[in-house]
This record gives sequence, structure tokens and C-alpha cells, in this order.
Amino acid sequence: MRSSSHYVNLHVNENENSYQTGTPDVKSCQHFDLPVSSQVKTDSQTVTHSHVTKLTFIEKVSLYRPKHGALITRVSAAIFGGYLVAANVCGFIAALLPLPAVDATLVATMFAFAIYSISAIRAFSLQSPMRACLEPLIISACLYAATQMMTQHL
Amino acid sequence: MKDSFFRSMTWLHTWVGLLVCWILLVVFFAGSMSYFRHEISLWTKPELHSGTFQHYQANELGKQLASGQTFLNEQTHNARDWRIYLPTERRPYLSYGWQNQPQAGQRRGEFHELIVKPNSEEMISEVRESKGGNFFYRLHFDLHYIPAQFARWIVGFCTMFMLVALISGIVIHKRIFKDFFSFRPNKGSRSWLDAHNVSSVMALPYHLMITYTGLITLMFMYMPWAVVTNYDGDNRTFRAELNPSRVQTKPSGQDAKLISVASLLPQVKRYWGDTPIKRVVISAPHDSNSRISFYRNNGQLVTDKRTQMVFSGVTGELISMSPVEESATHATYDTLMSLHTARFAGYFLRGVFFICGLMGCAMIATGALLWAVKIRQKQQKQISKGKTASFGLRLVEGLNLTFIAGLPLATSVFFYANRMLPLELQGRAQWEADCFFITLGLVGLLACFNRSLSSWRLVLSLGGLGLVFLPLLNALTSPSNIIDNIVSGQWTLVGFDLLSCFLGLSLLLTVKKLNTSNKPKSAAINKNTATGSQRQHVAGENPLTAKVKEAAQ
Amino acid sequence: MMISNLMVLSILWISYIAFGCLALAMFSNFRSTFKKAPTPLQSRGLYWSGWSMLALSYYLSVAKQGMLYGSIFFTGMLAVAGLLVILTLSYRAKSLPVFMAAGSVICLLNLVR
Repeated sequence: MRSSSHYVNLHVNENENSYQTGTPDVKSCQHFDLPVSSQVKTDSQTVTHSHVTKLTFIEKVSLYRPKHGALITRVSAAIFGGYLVAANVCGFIAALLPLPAVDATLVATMFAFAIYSISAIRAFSLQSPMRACLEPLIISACLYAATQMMTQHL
Repeated sequence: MKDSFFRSMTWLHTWVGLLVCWILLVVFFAGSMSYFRHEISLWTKPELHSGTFQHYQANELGKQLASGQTFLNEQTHNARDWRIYLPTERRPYLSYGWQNQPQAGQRRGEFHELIVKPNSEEMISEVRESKGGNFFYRLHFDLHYIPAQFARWIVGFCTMFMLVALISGIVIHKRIFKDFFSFRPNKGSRSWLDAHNVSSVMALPYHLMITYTGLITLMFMYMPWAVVTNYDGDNRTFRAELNPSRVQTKPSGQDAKLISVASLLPQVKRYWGDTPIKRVVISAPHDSNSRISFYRNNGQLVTDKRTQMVFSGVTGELISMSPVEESATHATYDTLMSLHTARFAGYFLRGVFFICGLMGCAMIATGALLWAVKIRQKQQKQISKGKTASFGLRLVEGLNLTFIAGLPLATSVFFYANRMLPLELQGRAQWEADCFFITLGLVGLLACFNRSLSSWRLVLSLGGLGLVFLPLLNALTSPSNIIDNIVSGQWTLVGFDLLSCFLGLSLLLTVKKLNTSNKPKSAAINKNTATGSQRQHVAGENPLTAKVKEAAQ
Repeated sequence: MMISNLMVLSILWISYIAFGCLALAMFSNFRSTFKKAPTPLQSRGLYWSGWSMLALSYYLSVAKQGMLYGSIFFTGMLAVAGLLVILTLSYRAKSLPVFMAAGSVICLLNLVR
């Protein structure tokens, strides 16, 4: 039930005016979807997705039910939160690896960008924007604490 | 569930791509040109086009080094270092250079270089001031007119956006294998989508590689946190550990006699065999701490390291030699860096990289054009009623015209400026760059007023004509034209002429296709739009609907 | 570690033939080229010949140029070959087998050398 009302919400918002104000409209990306069997109608009809899509394990773990909203929260979570996570993963791995300092630094820095892009994408695939915002903060805090503990022991 | 995820990813892909695509287009374009940086630099210096080229000759080395040392000894006074550049495949001339001590307030002293003509003692010093290929090289990460640090942050930011766009693009392209070979021309927006898919999927490994390695080249600036953690932020120590061979020794201030550079050649040959030497640098000549470094031409080794042998300038003993044993991590880092700079690539591979770079430009351009076409179709109903298009659409169409059509035109103007600006002009090199940007600005100005098909045709034809006539320009303003170059085997210059001719012709072919495919393809448009509300007959033809893929190349 | 120009051309054409086979193994491309549907046997045969040609192309790339340079070279050749196949299919679909045959002549020439 929740999912169908969610789709109705999106469709009702879809009109030309939203484009003129420059607000990104999720419906517009319908154009870029290659025709798939589950393409929804574009008028303001209620859409019911009565078929149950089986989620793979990965999707169940990482997606929940993604919803689009609260743009600014997600964008900041992606840009700033993502950088925070990447920076802390960088420091953490640099401290963690048992390699010589130069090598650990190299490995950590080279990985950091992959982490950044994954965090950015995750911020846009989670259901709640609040979670998308909090998750990077919590992960960063934990990693920062761990890094500090490791480097103080040295 | 799946639909929402894909919808979010599609939204993300669109906006992450759209917001930065024009800067990325400039970066990709300038980067692709940079693959031929040395060749372009050579072309922009017509003074070197006849009688200066020579091949690397191992048996002449002793003589060349000896005369170089003599010359530099006589001509320079208190220089910081002397350099002898031996001919390589991409810089086929011998030159002597020196760098003076920095003046007050300067970071580096002035650098002078003289080209030596083969088989004579004549030197060329009056080479015109031009950035040449280095203009494009710097453009693609330092941009222009803004401080380098700031520009690198902007480019890094855009590159992150590009990486996210690539990953989200892969995620949403569900039919990646089914649609691997599909390209349906002349079907409106479907063609644009196909072109976008083809140019991204075909060179996908390249795009992922170049984006990620691009970030890696400046990674210590973007992510210094590992250095902060492991070295407490002490960059200097880290750099010294990373590249121990680059540590400069300070001059001691005591005078000492410099030995003959040529006398060290047998030692070099013992370790390096017949591998060509790229250059010899004598730092702090006539000082007790002077160093003579031989740099090897690494050819096609996939490495960016400067393989060198350092001797003491006073005693001639070997001080250090690379390559030293390096860890797997270091080797990985080195490989990734060299993948981006592609210094190792032979001519075929270089050409392949260039084509892939242009496919990247096509990917970005088709993406932006696709968005503009789709949105125009969406708004066609109101536009035919008399309302103006939205600001976003006008902006995107204008930027598309400015950058996609303007960049080739600006490039040809750069080369015309290089040949036609007076030689004595102050700051000539900067003026050539200014011409490039003035052209872009003028096209932008045009885009403010007229974004229709006729503007596209105008700008593309001007660009195409400009590029096609570059060989003619070369013939008129250089001592040797293309026939002479073919006869004397100066293939670099021939290649430049032919490639610019070819690119110009493709642009003109595109314009021709723009002219002929102007028939309204309403049926095709209707079939391909996903929204049902667009099913009415479109009266005003969308200027861009019927363009084909080559427009983007 | 430099390979001859003819070898480079052969590698390029072998990749072209490989992608051509893989494309023709698909129903729509086969139909636009030959105006009839492929039999399952033809489809399967083309599919596997395509992959084996790719393997041959990779082998030739790394044999004389080393693993690292060869792999990079191979990836680049794939991009160019793929682009050429797509352009052929879109504008001159019927000539695809002709070009493939012409390409194999070049490769045979190289073998003879």
C-alpha cells in the first residue's frame, strides 16, 4: 500500500511547471529508462504494483525502500558526508595496514576515491534522507576514534 | 522496489552528469589533445621545421655531450643547472638549456634553451614564444586564468562527479549486453541515447581508468589524510620517502672543477647497455656538490619514474642509481600514474588513447544533447503555444552550443593565432591562449541570442574549415610544407596536418548531415518519447532532433 | 618490444572480425545484414568464433609486447574495433561480412610474412 501511494505522489507532482523552476523531477528520468515491462503510466492514474519484486540479498541489506526526497540533505550527505567517510577510511587504513608507512599511505589514499563514490551513491539509494545524513557521520566518528586509538598506541 | 532504485540512480546520473558536463568536456578535450603535446609544440614552432630534426645517435653521444658542456661553460654565468637534451622520438632535436638562479621574489630562475642544428655548430635561439601543446596540457588540470590550486580543486570535484556518473550509468544500463551493438541513426532522441551508450560502453575501461587515475595523479592534494595519520602531516618527509631519488642536494658554495661529462659514458653504458639516454643534467656546476645525472629514455616501459644515474660532478663516482627495488604498492602507484599520462605509449597506442579520449568527449556531449533534446520535446507543447522555453533549457542549449561546437573552432583559432600573431608581440604565448578563450566567449555570445540549427551549422562549419585549412596555413607560414615534410620524413608534422584535416572534414560532414536531415520526423519522435502527453504532432521542428552521432565527435 | 605495423593492423582486424561475429550472433544484427534469421547453430557458432577471435587478438597483443603493455594495447584496440563495427552496422550493415573477409586477408598476409 505504501509503495503505491508513493508512486501516486510522484506522478501528481509531474507537470511542466516543475521544470521551469528548475526543480529536478524524478519523472523526467522516465525518459531515459529503456522500455521495461514495469514502466508506469504517466498520467495521474493511481499505479498499483501488485507484483512482488524479489529483492536480492544485497538489495535487502543496502536499500530498504528507497524514496526520493529532501534533496539538499541527500546532496550534502553525498558530497560532504561522503568526503568525511572517505577521509576517515583513508586515515584508518593508513594506520591499520602492517606495511611500511609509505606503502600504507599509498594504499589508503588510492582506495579513498572508490570509498567516496560508493558513499555518494549510497546517499542516494537509501530510503530516508535522515539515514543518508547520519550514516556517514556515525561511520566517520567510529573510524576516527579507531584511528586515534591506533596511532596513539604507536 | 527495483524501480525506485533505478529511478534514483537515473536521476543521480542525469544531474551529476549535467551539472559539470561542460567543464568535463573542456577537460576531456584538452586531455585528448595533450596526448600529442610534444607534437603540437613542435608544430607551433615553425622555426624548427627545417634542418633541425635528428635521430638519436649513440656513437655521437660523446661528441654531443662534450660540445654541450663546452658551450654551456662559455655561455652561462652562475647558472643553477645545465641541461643537455638528447633527441628522442617525440622531440627529435638536440638542445642545450640552462636555468639561472632565481631572482628576488621568483621561485625558479629563468630557463633558456637553444636548439642545435645537426652536423653543424649552429644554434637556433629565436624560436617564437608559444605555449604549444603545453597550453592544452595545463588547461586540462590547471584550467586557465585562475590560480592553479583553485583550478585543481574544481577539476577534482568535477572528476568525482564524473566517477559517480560513470558508476550510476553502469548501474542503470540494464541492457548493456543486449544493446552493445545498437546504434539506430536518424531516430531522434533514441539515436542520441544510443550514441551516448555506445560512446560510453565501447571505451568503458578507458573512461573508468582515466577518471580514477586522474584523481590519483593529484591524490595527495585531495586526500592528505593518510599522510596526516602516518607522518603527522609532514609532507616533506613523506615525499622524500616516496621519491628518494628526487631529493636535491644544495650547492655548498665552494668552487670545484667539473669533470668531463663524456668521460662518464662508459660507466652509464655498463649499467644501461644500449638504452637511449634522454637527457643529462648538471646541477650546481663548478661547485663541490655538483651532480651529473643521466636520465634514461624508458621507451615503452609502463612507468612514470625518471630512471636516472647520478654521479658526483667533481670525482665522477656513482652516487645513486635507479630503479631501486620498489614495493608492489609503489609499483602499482607508478603504473596507475603512467596509465594516465601515457608517456609510455608508442604511436599506435597513443592514437588509440586519443580516439578513446574523443569518445569520452562524445559521451559527454551526447549526454548533454540528449538532455536538451528530451526537455525540448517535453516543453514543445507550451513552446508551440507561444510560451518561451524554460531557463534551464535555454541555458543548457546555449552551453551546448558554446562548448560542443565552440571548442573545435577555438582550437583552430589558437593555431591560426600561433602562426599569424606578430613575433615581437609582448606576451605572445598568452595572447594565443587568449584567442582561444575569446573565440569561446564569442560563440557563447552568439548562443545567448541564437541557439537554433543555423548557429550550430555556422560554428561547426567555421571550425571545420579552420581545421581543414591548417595544412595550407602551415605551408604558407613555415619553411617546410607537408610535401617537404613527407620527403624529409618529418612524420610528426605530416601527422599533425593530416589529423587536423581529417577532424575538419568530419566536422564539415556533420554540418552536411545537419543540412540534409531537416525533415520533420514526427512519427519517430512520437514513438520514442516515453511520456504519453507528447503524442500530439509537433509543428515546430526541434532543431536538434535529427542530428546524428558524428555531430558530437 | 615494438611490433610491426602489419601486426598492429592484424590485431585490429582480428578484433574487428571478433566483434563482427559477436554482433552477428545477435538476432537483430544478423537480420539487418543477411535479411534472414540466424539458425541456432549459426548463432552459437558465431558467438564462439567471436570469443575465440578475441582470445587470439589478446594473445597476439601480449606475445611480443609483454603482459602489461599488451593488455593495455588490447583494451584500446577493443574500443576502436568495437566503434568500427558499430559504425559499419549502422551505416553499411550489408558490408560487414565483406569488411570481415577483407580483414582476414590482411591477417593471412601477416601470417605469411
